Amino acid sequence: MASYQWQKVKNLFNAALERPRDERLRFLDENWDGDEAVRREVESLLANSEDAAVFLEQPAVGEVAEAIAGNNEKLRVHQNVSHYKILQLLGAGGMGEVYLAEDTKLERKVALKILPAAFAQDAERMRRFVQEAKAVSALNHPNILTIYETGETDNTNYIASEYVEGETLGERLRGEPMNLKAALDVSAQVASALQAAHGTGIVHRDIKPDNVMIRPDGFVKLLDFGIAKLTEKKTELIDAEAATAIKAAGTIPGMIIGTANYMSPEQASGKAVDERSDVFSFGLVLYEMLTGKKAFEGASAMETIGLILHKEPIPLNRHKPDVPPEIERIVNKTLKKDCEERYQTAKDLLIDLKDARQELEFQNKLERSNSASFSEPDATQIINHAETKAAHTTSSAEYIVTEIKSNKLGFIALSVLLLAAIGFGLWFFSNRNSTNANQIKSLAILPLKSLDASENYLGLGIADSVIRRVSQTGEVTVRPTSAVRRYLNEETDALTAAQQLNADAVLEGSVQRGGDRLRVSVNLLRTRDGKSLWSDKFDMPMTDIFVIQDTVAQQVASRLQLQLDPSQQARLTKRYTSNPVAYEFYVKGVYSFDQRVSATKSQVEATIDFFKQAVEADPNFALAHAQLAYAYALKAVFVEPTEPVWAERAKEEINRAEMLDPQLAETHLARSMLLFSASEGYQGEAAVREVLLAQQLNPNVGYGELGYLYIHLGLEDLAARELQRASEIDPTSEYVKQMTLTMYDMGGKYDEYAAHREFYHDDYMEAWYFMSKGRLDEAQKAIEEWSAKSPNKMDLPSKKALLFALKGDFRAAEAMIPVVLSRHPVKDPLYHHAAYDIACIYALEGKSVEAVKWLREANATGFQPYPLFTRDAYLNRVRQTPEFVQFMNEMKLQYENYEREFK
Amino acid sequence: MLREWSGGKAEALDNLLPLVYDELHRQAARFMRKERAGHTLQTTALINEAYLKLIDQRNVNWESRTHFFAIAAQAMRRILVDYAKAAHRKKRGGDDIKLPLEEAMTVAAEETPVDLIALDEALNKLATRDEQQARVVELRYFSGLSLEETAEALHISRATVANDWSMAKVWLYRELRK
Repeated sequence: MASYQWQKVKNLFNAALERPRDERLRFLDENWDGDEAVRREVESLLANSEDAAVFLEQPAVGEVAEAIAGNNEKLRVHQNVSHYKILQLLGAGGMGEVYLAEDTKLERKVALKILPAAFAQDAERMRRFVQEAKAVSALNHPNILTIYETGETDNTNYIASEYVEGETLGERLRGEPMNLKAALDVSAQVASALQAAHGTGIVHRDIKPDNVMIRPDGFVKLLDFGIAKLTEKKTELIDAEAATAIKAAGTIPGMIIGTANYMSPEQASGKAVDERSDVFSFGLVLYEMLTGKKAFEGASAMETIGLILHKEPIPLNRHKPDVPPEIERIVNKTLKKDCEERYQTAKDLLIDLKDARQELEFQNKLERSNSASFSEPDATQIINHAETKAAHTTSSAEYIVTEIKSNKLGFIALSVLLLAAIGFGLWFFSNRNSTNANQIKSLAILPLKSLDASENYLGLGIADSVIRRVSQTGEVTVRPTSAVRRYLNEETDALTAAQQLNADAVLEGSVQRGGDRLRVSVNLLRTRDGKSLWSDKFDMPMTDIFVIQDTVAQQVASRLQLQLDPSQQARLTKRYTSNPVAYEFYVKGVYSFDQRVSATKSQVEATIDFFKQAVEADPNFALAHAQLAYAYALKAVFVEPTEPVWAERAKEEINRAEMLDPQLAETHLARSMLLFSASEGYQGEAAVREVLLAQQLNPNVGYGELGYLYIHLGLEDLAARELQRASEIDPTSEYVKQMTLTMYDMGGKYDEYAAHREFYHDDYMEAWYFMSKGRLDEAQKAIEEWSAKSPNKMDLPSKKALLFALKGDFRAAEAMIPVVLSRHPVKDPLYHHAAYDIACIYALEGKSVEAVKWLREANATGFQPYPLFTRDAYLNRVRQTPEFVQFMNEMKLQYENYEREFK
Repeated sequence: MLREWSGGKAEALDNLLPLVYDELHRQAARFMRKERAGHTLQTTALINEAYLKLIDQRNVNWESRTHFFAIAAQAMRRILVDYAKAAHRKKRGGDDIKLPLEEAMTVAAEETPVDLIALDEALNKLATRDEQQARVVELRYFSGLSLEETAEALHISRATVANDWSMAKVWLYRELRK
């Protein structure tokens, strides 16, 4: 039916419907224009109109209410889900139902969370579901529910977790306040759980009383990281397909999820959230524990949100006049609307909570031992005096002073208290200061010197494994193996090395192999004063090399007073193989391996060879598979980009490594490298996500890689930030220096480039720089010098061509283009730079269509620095053409997407 | 967020889904407790509206407002149809999504439920003929807006909404009986 006919049907039908039923046909006869199809349609519709009267009058939600409400308990009890037998429904919420179930294999009770069936069709939900399980189980924190397994069976997705008997905080409260001590106990445990979660980049996002479980013995478990997704930008990537899906779906800024009453202002206004959002929600829960009242409660969710955004809660002491001011201060600080004014970390919050708890205990003791009384004026006098003196002890003292006022304590007790308060303040500050001053924030672990020349790799191997273990704890910045490797063959004294590496402490040592025994000695020095913090000697059978590594790593951690939670502890002593032969090959691989920027073909091949032998000796050696994957990826992307087999090998090894151990940062770095390559179509966003995942597993890696990726995506601020961090971790890294230069190069920031180049290399300037400044003669000279010095320098032809174009000799410039392209096959990682240079040549010539064509080519092959496109003077001549404008509009959108996702 | 809605991007729909899920869950629970569904659904509409007010009142023009409602309604539609599909799959052992006609008829005879999956398809078909009518159905049926609210959301008159609604209902009803 044509649309004009449809319009006629509408008019006739609606008009006819307004008439009594028996007049409708006559009305049709009178008003019909003879179009048969229209007549038939209207009659047919009218014939159905009676029956359709009630149709759709009840809203759609009713049709599937049962399914949505998850009211299918009867269906499930005694049923089996995989090897779990459902026993009882424990609870249901928007994110699924939770059942008590029995694991029939292991014969234990578990809590089984079933995701609503409809979620399975929602890829985003599913992704988050899997993420929750992964992220939470990686934490292994005593106050966080342990996840046993996640799985899918018969279209049902589930998480099996530890079953905690007890009641939720919500059930405990029921509108009644808790006593102060109990509230502090619970909140300290929750804060501790948050500290651990935040440490790995996980924001809970749904802190509320119903998600806090209290066991009968007082132990607290934080539940339901159901909506905790890894902090905004750390979105997980599952595979290339999912990456495309994510790309298609775009970024997901802070969406509104969670219960309105416990939302932070940033959550409620749909902004991106971070750890500090949890701090706010935590504050609301603490408020409720202390008062029995919700801090924000409107008649509707929307009203509540309005209150959260614009109103201050009723002051704590109006509900509860006896609440100590220190506690009130803590609550107020968690509930600041502006997240900048809140506790910035759960760690700081935890410290204050613990202090407050300690103080409370102390005060309770004093109160119990006191009964005397004294006249008030004197007390006030002393109080005033004390207040000035103890001003810097902040509210701790105020708290006690207020207590004194209200309790009219005796003079002696008062003096004791004031002294205690001042003393507490002094202790408090000196303690904090001393930890700051002595705190060791960075550590260099040097290769152990081999006392028998042939066994060099062993000393590096031990250092490498200790580096890995300590750095994975995330508690201290450890210089990477690539940074310390050079000291293996250098006679540099440890403290000098530490200064060169800008490390607060350094571990040195020696290793000697005698037959099948191994002698290892180590010494941990503080750089500032050379003081030995720990030294030890080991004499063990060769087969115990792993014990030695464990011991050294643990000792280092304990001497540096790293506060490790159980999951960090586990990472510290994690063993990757117990096969000495495999380990030996592995260490040789590490030894032959160098930073990727300077890796030569033969180095990469030797490395591959060693790691291959390592996995042949122990096929379950996950770390060796991961390293092998990385080496293959390197070969695939940078050494032989035209040979597809290496990418295939890399993928095989990535899969194997991941299967054996999903917690290896190297696997993600290898995948990231592959993703941002010609063979995988330069998936920049996916590549970034992989690095972010790697960083969750090892906070010391990936900054250089991120810098590299952000540069190519045009995210200049982020690139600068990451490279800054990378150079803090490894101040000696050539790779980082190279990337910093590339950042200025690809940003068109000529002066910064020149300054850094001089700073790093102290050598002659690139022709590129002279060209940008219009100093063409000097550029010419620089190019000639190159040609003489290293005629094979990759970008020589393209710079020559660019120089021709700048001089106005476009024929010569264009003639160079085939030469440029013959240097860089499409799969070459530098191809996109060549493509951009070609675009610039055409732009200088005013050939807009060609210029845009090559810009698109550069963009499609991973060269996407939109800010450069906007400011590069080489493009100025074509800026106004429609195709260029169109191109820039597209680039702008792409760039804004990147910004939204990663900023 | 509203900027994105008004930008009309596809992801706006995805952004909205979790919000809608949770709201639907609450409504469904109330529905199961035999509360009047109409009332709860009005709450949803209110929530959408209030949320709009909350964001940045001054900069919200009617187009982006309309867009917001459209997106919300589409989100609801998608979720509800997904639930229906999941329920079907469970019944059918995960094979075919469509019920054989006889079975659909028997089910219909019992408690006249609406086959949301078939309705969804029919609504797509209707949208190719009359986009506005399809939008009206989305707002009225899937997000439970009243005639007035629908009119306001679509920025058309109440009478037009009433006409579109009654014709769309009949058209869809007939389509489902085919």
